[in-house]
Amino acid sequence: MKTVLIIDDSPMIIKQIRQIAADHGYYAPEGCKTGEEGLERYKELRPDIVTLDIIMPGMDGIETAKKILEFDPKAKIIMVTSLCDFDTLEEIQGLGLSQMVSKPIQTKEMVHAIETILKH
Amino acid sequence: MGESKIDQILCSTFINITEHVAGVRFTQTDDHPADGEHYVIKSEMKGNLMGDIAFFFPKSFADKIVETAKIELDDISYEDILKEYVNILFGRMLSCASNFLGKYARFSPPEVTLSKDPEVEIVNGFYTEKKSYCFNSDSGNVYFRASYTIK
Repeated sequence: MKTVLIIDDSPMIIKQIRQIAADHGYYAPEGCKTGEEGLERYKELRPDIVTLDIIMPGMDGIETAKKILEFDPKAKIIMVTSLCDFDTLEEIQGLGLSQMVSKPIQTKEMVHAIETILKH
Repeated sequence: MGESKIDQILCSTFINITEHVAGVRFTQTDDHPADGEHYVIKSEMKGNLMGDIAFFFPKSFADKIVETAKIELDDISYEDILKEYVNILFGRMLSCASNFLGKYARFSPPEVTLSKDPEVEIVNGFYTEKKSYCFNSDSGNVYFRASYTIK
């Protein structure tokens, strides 16, 4: 069973994505509420996919994504964010990330992003 | 002094997102000081749009947001749901402003408190623009306060 690691400071989003993952045959352990915690958990768990918020206390999602990719250049990361400005989109693309899901999360969109990223 | 384009963007984004996410339709109305107990949701804006931004929600509107989320309040708190709604709202508002200005803008994770005197929760820093708006709906009045400088 594929593993989805959720990094988001919102307990509501963590719960939502865990439910979506479980409903579609994926395993999502307890989420991480900070980028720092997420990075450490990534190194321990080596999940198949990461969903990553951008606005978090401490290290933001862009910085967290960079550090995860430094550790594992093949990491599969889905950015999950309410931001939709050109600068953020450029930053995400600049990291080579292809999947992004907008908040509020729609189940279909999240499932599509997970399935797409697993194919590549 | 007329409403600037940025203010129009911030206000219209609030109205559109709130209708979409919470199903509540607001219209802008004459501003006045918020009276009585309100949830105060604050954040700091960073980047080329620097400043402070806050909303005051009456309990009637906060209840509506929580109800619309359809999440059981077991391991998720009432304030968690409010924060996530405001996270979506601030994200969209600043993204629209950022795209219009062609300037980088971010915000800090929102903080939620319940206050009997919300106006005193706002400390205006040394920013060039200070804005106050009020929006009316069947779920009560929402107040929007922003102080910012465009770099």
